[in-house]
Amino acid sequence: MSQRDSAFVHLLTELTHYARENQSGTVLPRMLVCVHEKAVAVIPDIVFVKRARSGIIQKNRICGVPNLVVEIVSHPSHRDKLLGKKKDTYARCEVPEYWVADPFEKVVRKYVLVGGTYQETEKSRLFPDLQVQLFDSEKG
Amino acid sequence: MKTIPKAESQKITFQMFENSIPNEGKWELIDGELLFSDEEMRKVILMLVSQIGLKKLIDILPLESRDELERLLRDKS
Repeated sequence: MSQRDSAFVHLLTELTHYARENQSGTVLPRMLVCVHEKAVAVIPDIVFVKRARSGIIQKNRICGVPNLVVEIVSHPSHRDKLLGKKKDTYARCEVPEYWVADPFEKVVRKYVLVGGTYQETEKSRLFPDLQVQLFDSEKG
Repeated sequence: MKTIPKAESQKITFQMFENSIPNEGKWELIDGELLFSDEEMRKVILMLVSQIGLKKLIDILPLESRDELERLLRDKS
């Protein structure tokens, strides 16, 4: 399994488990997210939608803004896209929280939206007690 | 390996397919633009046109686009 796939499975498992335990909402992998008014159609690696907003989840897409978007760096050259155009786009769509998991640097960068721009933070507002660590795929 | 579209349809090798998949296979749209780099766009278009062939591409194009293409090719030569 690639580093990217390993990070994906790990994050998806951790977030799903946390959301279920806390009955806070739904975690979905690789689903089309359409924000029509912003002319945006993207397929983030993982999204989280709070229970109160579950109406935006449709059969094969999310029509509206998720509460959290998680993207995973698949190659070091992929970082610029996730920390540039995608980050700007999610801020413009007013996604409250954006995480970029980087299995090559073994780090999950978390950003919260403050006044229309993302600020890096140590602690998530949506998953405050969740400690996410990325390991080498060989170590499991 | 160079991808060269020809008049007739060509089979796509696995290597060509693997090298040409843009943006991890995700088709994403932001502000009316596909989220592919120029290089990703070049590769995927060459792969698709190789698969269908130039004849089919011309068949697919609306008349207006064909005329435009003809004009562009004439201007280039």
